[in-house]
Formats: sequence, C-alpha cells, structure tokens
Amino acid sequence: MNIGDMLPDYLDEARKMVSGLAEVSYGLEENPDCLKEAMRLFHTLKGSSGFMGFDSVCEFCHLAEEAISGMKEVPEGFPQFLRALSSTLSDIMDGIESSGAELPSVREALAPFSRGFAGADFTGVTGQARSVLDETGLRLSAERLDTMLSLIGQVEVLKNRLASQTHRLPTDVVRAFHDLELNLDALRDQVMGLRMVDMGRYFRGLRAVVSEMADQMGKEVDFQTTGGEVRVDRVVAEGIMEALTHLLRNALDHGVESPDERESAGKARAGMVTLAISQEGNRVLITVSDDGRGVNMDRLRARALEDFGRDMTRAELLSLLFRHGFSLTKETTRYSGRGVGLDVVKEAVDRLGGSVSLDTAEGRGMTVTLDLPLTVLVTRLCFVRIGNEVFGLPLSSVARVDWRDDLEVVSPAGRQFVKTEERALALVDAGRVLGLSSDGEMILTLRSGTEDFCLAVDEVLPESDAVVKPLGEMFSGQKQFVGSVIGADGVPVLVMDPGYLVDQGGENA
Amino acid sequence: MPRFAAFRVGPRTLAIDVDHILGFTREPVWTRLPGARPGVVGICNWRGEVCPLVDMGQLMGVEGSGGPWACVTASGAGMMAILADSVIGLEHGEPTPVDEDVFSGTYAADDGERFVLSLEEVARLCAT
Repeated sequence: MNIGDMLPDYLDEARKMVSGLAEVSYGLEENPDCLKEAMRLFHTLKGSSGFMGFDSVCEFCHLAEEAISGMKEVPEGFPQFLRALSSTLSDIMDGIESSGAELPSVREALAPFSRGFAGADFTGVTGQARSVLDETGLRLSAERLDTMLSLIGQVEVLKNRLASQTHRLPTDVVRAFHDLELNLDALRDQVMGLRMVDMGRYFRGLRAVVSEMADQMGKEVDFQTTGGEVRVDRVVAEGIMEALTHLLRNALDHGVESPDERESAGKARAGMVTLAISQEGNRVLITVSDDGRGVNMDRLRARALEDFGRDMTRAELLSLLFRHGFSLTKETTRYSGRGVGLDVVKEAVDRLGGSVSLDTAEGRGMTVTLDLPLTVLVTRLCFVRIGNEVFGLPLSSVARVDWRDDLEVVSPAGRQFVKTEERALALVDAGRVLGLSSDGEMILTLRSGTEDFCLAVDEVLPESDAVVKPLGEMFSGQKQFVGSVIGADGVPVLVMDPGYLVDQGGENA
Repeated sequence: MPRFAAFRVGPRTLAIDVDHILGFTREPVWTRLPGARPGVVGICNWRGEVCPLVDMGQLMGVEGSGGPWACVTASGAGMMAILADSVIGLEHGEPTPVDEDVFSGTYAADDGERFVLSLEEVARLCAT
C-alpha cells in the first residue's frame, strides 16, 4: 500500500478532527476544560499529517498544540478564532482531496492563524481567514462568495422584471427566457450550496456542554441527537448555536430532576434530553426536549398575576418565559436563574427571521421548537402597500390575511385588539408606526418570536423570493427595517422587522 | 493636482474627490425611508445596490436640489448618492482646508468657488 492509498482514511480522520475543533469551540465558551480536547485534536492531526508528509499542516498543528498547552484560561476571541481555523482547515482538506497533495497555498492560508498562536492574539482573524473551496480546488473567500450571491440576486431581479414583460415577447424568446430562468435557479442553488454546512458538525461541542453541566449539577443525562445530516446556511447554524446552548442549559438546570427525585417520581434515573433537527421545505426545525419536571403552570400564572396584575391565557403565560428578566427560579445558579436564557433564544431566532414555540406538561418535560430558514440569503417576501408606499415582510412571519370588516376589532382603553374565539391579538397600525397615512383595510396576522399580533395595511401584493440586504451602517438605528430589496420595477423596497412592530404594538395599537 | 467632480446644488457648487465617485445618474429610482433624518430623501437603486439618497440643499439650508441628477459616491462612510441640479464635470483643484460643517476645503475655479464635501461628515449628519 502506498501513501496515496491511505489518503481517503487520512481525510476521513482529519475531517473529524477539523469538525471537532469547531464543536469544541462552542464548548470552550462554557467549559475551559475543552482546551484539553482541542489540544488532543491538534495532536492527532499533527501525527497523521506528518505521516502523510503534509508538512505545513503538521508544523502548524505542532505550533497550535504548544500554544494551547500553555493556556491557563480561554483567551479573548479564541473560540471564534478556532471556528475560523476549522473552516480554513476544512478547505485545506478539500484542496488535498482534489489535488492529492498539500497545495503550496496551504502555508499562506494558515499564516494568519500561525501569527495568532505565536503572538497569543486571537482577535481579528475571524473574518479574514474564512474561505471555501469549489470542486476544482480554487480558493474562494467567503466575501467573494457573498459578492457572487449578491450578483446572482441582482440578476434575479432583472429576471423578475423580464418575467413581467414576457407577454410582449415572441414565443422563441419566451422559451429562451424560461431556459435562462432554470439555469439561473440551478446556478443560485450551486453557489448557495457552498455556504451550507451539516448541523452534525456542532453536535460534539453541544454534547461536551451537556456532559459538563450534568457533572456539575450531579445529574444523569442521556443526550440524543438526530438530523446531523441536515445542511443549513453557515450563518444560520452559527447564529443559533448560542441559543441552543441556552436551551440545553435550561433543560438540564430547570427540566431534568436529580436522579433520586426522578426515581421517586417513577422515572429512569437518567433524564432524556433530545436535540432533533429536520428539514421542512426551505425551513429547518430544531427541537430541544427533555422529560424533566416541565413548567408549573399554576406557579407561572401566580407569578404573572403578581407581575402584570391580570390573568393570562396559556399561550400568553408561556410567552412570558421568553421575556427578558423573567424567571420562575428565584435563586441563581452558575447556569441559570438570572432571567436570561430564553430571551436570548428569542432574540437569536428573531435575528434569523424565524419563530420559536414552547410546549410543556408538568412532570413530563418541555419541548422548545425553533423554526428557522435554511438560508438567510434568499427570503420569500410578502409585499404590502401602506399609504402610497410598498414594504416587504418575511412571508414566514405571515400566518393569515383577512379583511378588517371580517374581523371583530375591539378597543378597550384606547388600544386595539382583534378578537378571535381563543384569544385577543394586539392590532398594530402600520401606517401610524411608519408615519404614513393609511386606511388599514387588510389585517395580517403575524408571528414574531413567540408572539402573534395583527398588522393593519392597505393592500397585500404578490409575494416573491428576494435577497434582503442590510440598509448599511448609516441607518443602523432604523430598527423597524431589517433591510431592503430591489423590486421587479427596480425601485428599492424596505423590508419591515416583525419583531420591531410587535414591540410597538403596545404603544401604537 | 487632485481631481474633483463638480456639480451644482442651488446657489452652491460642490465638489467631491474623483476617487470617491462611482458615477452620475439622471432621475435615480428611489423610495422614501420613514424615520430618516431631514436631508435623507430615501434609498435609491444604483446598479442593483441600495444606497442612501441625500439632498444637500436641505443639509446646507439652501434652495435645491431636488435633482434631477444624483452623484453616486463610495467612501469609508459607505455608498451614498447626492442629488444635484446640474453636473459641471471633472476638474483639477488645490483646496484650502476649511472647518465648516460638511466641507473639508474650498478651491477657486473659472466660474466661481467650489466647496469640497466631506462624505464622512455628510454620513454622520444623515445617520439614524
């Protein structure tokens, strides 16, 4: 057997080490002991790379191992540094696979990380080092990839403009246009695929977090994961990781009981915590569930009465758990009880344009479901007219559309609500929030985070896919908008943030 | 000698370092931005990119410019389009530094004084 025959096994093992580094980086934020695991991963990768003759990787791993062995605590920026490094090493492995050798550019790609380890400065490397490889082994920076996607988005805008004019074109031109449309969709999917990652790459780090917390709390936990093969946009995966850590922390701290307590309740001594990931069309559903004590609804109701002076529906009560500063636990532990946790989850989900729901049964556990887009690059938007202006809204946040006349709108104490059989939803006047003159004849029921609310607009227009771009630094204070898109007629369209609107509901309804 | 793009806004002639100029466009396609500062007309489409559209007339407290031209710029402050009544063109100038609101300097041309815009300062005034 020659060295070349061993390449597949080397790559298989090396990729595990590399994805392990990304996973460990999440563990580091909770548990400095994960440094030892990082050192072990570098040590193993050093050995196998040296054996294969991949000297640049080998020497780099030696430097990393040495540097980490001298660390007493996790340096500032190190988890992010490690994630960027994992991404670069992953690209290097792709390059080795396609060329069968260590490319000369490997040393150059690792240079910023070598400087980071040598100077013990781990800040500022995160963005510049991220790169991806296409299948020909060409190096492509993440920024360049985003530029390509942006250009594809612009071509899609032009395509949509043409699509509205096809009735004026000869048949053969229309046929060519449809071929162009198909090819453009395929091109977009291919380029977007370069940004997608397996969710499974993060499982090991989360498992380390669960294991560490269970040990600290004296609890026994059986942690199950499913759906690691689901591929999502790297931005979504990394944007939700802190929230997942919080959910697991809550499951262990508030949910799973001590082994003795569980035994006396007729349960297995080890609590079950499950992280399940599945794909539903262009959405990813992430469920964190436990079979612990669940939420005591009587206590929650009493606490709500104490804090807000009124009785609430079950949905309203459960949504309180996502409010900043709200905690049912009076004492704080190292892990929870400060009223932060689920609000962090909601914020992360809002940022990514998703929603979160919670279900619980006392004594049987709790399930939190995050519903997120697979990618944040292309968003399906619903367009609405408010006064003379057109705005976009993420379609995922729109639950239903009604005529105002078909709904029962009540106005107790100057606030407007839409009354249904089960509940009363705050009605937000979009025109008033945006300072526009509006009749508000159509009512959208929107879901933001955990809260449903209604939004009065003048007209609902056809939906479409669009690449939403941020408004830029100059308008960073414009919280009512998540960004803008170019409409089919070339006019920029502002995309509203449902999370901001629901916050305005109380004041403007 | 540095080169500038010069254009008129009401009674004043403004100039921007040519290195910051992406181009001029007539009657830009734009939309209003609710809640924006006075002087910010809205956001406009420049070749598929969205950028702020600024009325320097409002910022300087003079009549005009409501267009029809827009001078599209890119600097450390990001992209920005500035409305202009008319475009004079490219010219050389040796500005004398001034400390006056949104201007970093002035220079003399055959047909009058030019006010060199500080794009960073304009962006700061327009930021929300």
